[in-house]
Amino acid sequence: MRKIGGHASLKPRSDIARFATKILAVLAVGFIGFVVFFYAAPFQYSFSVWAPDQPIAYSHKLHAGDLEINCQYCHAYARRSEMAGVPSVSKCMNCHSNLTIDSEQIAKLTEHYDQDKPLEWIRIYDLPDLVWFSHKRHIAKEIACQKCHGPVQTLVTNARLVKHNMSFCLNCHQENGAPTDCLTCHM
Amino acid sequence: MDRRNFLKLGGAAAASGVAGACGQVAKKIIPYVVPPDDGVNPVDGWHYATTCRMCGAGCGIIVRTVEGRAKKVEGNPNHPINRGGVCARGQAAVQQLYHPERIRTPLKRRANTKGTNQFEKISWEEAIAILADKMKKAKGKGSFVMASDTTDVTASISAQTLKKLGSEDFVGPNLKGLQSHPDASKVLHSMSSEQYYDMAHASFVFLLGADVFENSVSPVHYGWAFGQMRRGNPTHRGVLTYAGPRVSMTAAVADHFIAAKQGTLGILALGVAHVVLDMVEKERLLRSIPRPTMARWFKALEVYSLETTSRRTGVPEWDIKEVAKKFMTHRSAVAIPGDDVSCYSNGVESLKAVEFLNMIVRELNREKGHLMIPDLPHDETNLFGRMKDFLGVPEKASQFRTMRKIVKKAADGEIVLGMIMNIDPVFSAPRFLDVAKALDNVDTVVYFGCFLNDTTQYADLILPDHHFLESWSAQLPNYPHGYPIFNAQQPVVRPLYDTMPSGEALLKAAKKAGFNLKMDNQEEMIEKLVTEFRAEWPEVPQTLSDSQAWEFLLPTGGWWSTLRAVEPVEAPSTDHLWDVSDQLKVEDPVFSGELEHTFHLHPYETVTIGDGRLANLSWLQEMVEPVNSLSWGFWVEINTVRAEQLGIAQGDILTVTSKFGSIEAPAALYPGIGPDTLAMPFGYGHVSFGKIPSGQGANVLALIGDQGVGKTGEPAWRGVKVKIAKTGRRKKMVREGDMKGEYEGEVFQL
Amino acid sequence: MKSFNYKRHNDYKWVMVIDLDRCNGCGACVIACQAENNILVVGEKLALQKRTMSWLRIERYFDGEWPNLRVAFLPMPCQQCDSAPCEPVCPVFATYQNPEGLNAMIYNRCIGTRFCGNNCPYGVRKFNWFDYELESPLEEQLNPDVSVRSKGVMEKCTFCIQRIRRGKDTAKDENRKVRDGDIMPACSQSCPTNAIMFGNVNDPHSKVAEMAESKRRLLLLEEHGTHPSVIYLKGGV
Repeated sequence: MRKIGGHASLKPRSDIARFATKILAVLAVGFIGFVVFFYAAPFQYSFSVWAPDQPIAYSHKLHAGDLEINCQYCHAYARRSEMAGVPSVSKCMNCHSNLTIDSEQIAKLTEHYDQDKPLEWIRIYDLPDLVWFSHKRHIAKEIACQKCHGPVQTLVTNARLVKHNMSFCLNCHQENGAPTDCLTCHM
Repeated sequence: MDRRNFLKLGGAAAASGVAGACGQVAKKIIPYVVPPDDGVNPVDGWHYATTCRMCGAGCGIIVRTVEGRAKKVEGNPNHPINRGGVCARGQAAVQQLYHPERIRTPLKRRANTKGTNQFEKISWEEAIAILADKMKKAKGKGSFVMASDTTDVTASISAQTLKKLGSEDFVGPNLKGLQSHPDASKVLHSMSSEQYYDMAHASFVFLLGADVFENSVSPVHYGWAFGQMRRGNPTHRGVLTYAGPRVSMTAAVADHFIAAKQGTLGILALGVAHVVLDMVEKERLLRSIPRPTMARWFKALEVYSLETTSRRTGVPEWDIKEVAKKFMTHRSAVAIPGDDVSCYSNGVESLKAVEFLNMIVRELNREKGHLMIPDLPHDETNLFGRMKDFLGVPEKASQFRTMRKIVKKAADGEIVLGMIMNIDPVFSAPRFLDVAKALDNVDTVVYFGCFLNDTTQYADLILPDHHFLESWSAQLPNYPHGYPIFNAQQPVVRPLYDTMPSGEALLKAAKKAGFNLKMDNQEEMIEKLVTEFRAEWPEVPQTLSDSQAWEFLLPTGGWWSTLRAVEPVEAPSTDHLWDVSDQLKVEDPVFSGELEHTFHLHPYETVTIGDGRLANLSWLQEMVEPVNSLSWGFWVEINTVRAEQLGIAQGDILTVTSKFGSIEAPAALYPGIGPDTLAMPFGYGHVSFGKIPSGQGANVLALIGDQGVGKTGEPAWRGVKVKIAKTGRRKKMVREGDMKGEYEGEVFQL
Repeated sequence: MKSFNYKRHNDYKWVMVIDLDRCNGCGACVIACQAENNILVVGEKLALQKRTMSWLRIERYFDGEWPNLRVAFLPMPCQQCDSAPCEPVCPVFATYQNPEGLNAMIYNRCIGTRFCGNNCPYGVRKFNWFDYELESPLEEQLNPDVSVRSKGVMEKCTFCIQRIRRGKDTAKDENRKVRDGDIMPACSQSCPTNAIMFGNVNDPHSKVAEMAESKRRLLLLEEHGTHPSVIYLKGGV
């Protein structure tokens, strides 16, 4: 039998008690582990800043910031549907068929266009399947894009600056008196 | 850019659709290179009107597509056949489209592998070259076509090709349906096709073994008509009476079910007609019918007195009188014959008997001044007939007789080239024909279709077809009879694999073989049809150009006469049919079987997988058979009480033996079937049709012998008697139905 | 018969009316539901253990003996009860009453205790015992509007919430209320006999409001005080 601590007054625990402690410890670790693994979202939802390399080094700073092109010129579906939409290559070519054509990036773009080969952009903001979000509704309420997407017009490489978790959505909904019924967003 | 180009580009849409919520890999957004002219609706998607080809009915459907993928089949609310509804099989079209077992490239048989599904991939050039070569060789030497539809562009092309090959052996898909119908209607109605029974405007419907919601010409149309009949009229609830040997799904919704002996429904019809005529005389109705005619009718019906009819049919006298009374009192009534009338040895006479009853009823309806949609042989200008001629749709002949002819020729080695379009005759023709052996004897069998099946085991060349959701076509459906309907079929998604529409493959090969066909490609043919007839289609604005008219028709799903298809008119007089009294004679049915065969066999098509063409779709396999609550498999239904007497429990595997063959099936105890009847579903027992249906159950057709319906040459596939024996084994059967709660009684409460 | 306890304070209260006199049991609604809501096929082996996932089933009732037999069909979706027995037993509030009278089921909140399924007198809640796999390319058919539920989650009929939401969305764009007939759940849309009607019972001019007052009205297990939102119209005369 082993003493616990230096206090003689403390009675050594029985075997059963020790066993129970062990069980409890295992259970506690298991429970915490379960909670972490069960509820922890996959990595792309959990890190707030994320800026992957894109197939074409497109600069939001240049287009949206310096040239002040309206967001919805390229993300044309945003006001009409749930998705904002990434522009088609042909939309880029509207300008770039005769603008800065000597640049290396534009050459890449032209190649895609000529070969009828779609561009594969890396998704930056994504919501899990169980969330329903409509750009249309938010734009109808005249909520600025920056509210959820951060100061995009200052970014050379687009990055995720805002973490889209449930509290982010709910805070705003509560502040503005928007519906907070679960079924508003979940199905 | 037009709609067609859009579909070619559609596949480049974003791949982000449904990738699951748990991806650890960065997801991609892949936008269009060039977006389509009519814009992109990334989420709600586009809805395309097209035509459902899961069966031959020709319902108009609207398919919801999102990002170039077909998601959901919905009914076209304006279509005169289905009126917005769509059945379970139609919905499963999307599952068929994305079925993992679809054929993806042309295939050629490996040497010495006939009888198995072993093939090697070849290119389309090679495939077309082989087909062209075989066509050249087969010219004038014997060839045939077995088609999955007889009313569309593909059928038209294959029939024309066949003509060039010097043959007329063209056979349609339905080898065991209401085949005796044309023969009976020809006599009584001088028509060559199915009749239209106006259930929607009737207040009393007498179904004689007609499972109209399960396997009629158009179950969805009858479904709509049923809803209209029951509750469409705010002041009057329609009444349905069903007579037959088994409570099918259709019989289950009837207000009255009358159990009649097998093969006696024609007798029952004449018995009812007799009582009706008696009442007519008593109440001095139908004075428009000449007295001598009436007298002749009475004379012919003399032997169908209440007592005799009751004895011969096993139906209580009271029930016969009740039905007759309903015919008299309801404002409009109709009798609809089904398989249980036509599929016995006395089928043709029985059908005539039902049509005779209908004739009297129609005169009664006329006298009551009720308007119904009549069954016109053709509309006044014969527009539909001309449309069919223009498209070159083959005339509908008795399919079974043609099949017999083809099989005989093949067995005699007189056939060089056989072309089979998307059907499975080895599986779906009765065993006594031995289609497999016949095909084995054919020099070259070419199969056009989406899936490998029992028939492809004997094919030498396989040309993968587009799924109907991927291809252009046009269909002129036969139903509702007489009303011109032009069904446009357009692709809703880009083809998934290296496939080619069967019609186009045929055209290419025929061209290469040096045959001169009427058309160059399918789409051109369809557009030509529109150009030719649009002047006669008042619904299409005449100010539009031809291409605009085509664009106008596509979103509607085609053209149909809105006026004539909806509005009931006064039925034309049937006086030219009155002199039929000498034909009113129905013999007792003859059954093939010995004394030891004590059970009647009642093979039937379920509402789930039908005749087995759709048995590889898991949605339909898991769908519950509506009345016996079974899914996933094969069974033999036996009366619950009788089973208890015989010591048979649910799932006991029984051997069912007829004079012609023997199969095994687990017993399904069912209260809605007579104690002397065993019901078994068609569509099971595939040998080589992909993972799900292969080896599932057995094929009932093995029990059916070559006993004809009269002299028609059609098999009387319900006129078979069988015996059963227990094997001692047992199968667990998937059965839905924990009836939770205690609301059982309430449903019946008035 | 007890009167309805509708949530009258809200614009919408969704109600489904099923006319049993029109229903012919064809099962089109079952497959429509399956296609619309990404309900996966479990296969023969699991079906034997009664683990099928369909949200809508057609029940059948037999009365009498051959040949005097009467049969009735009864399509059974979630009854969306106003006082749902499933709600109070959920320890994590994954299922609750929504202001529009829907019995909401929030998948991401569900921890899979299955208490709700046990407490449902209609037996319409289905539990995902496994993750069901789809063989490629069958996943192309999945409806992007509806999440694919994973293992350990309870699920049930939602009255096609994605369609309700889209209907309300369009109405909002046009600055109006949802009109009668704008929203159709998949089952109601496919029904060949038009037996299933759906609408807003708080709109007095809607078809369902009229049908809800029908003399043929039948509420299943009404005596349990569940106040279902699915109103059946009895068959017969």
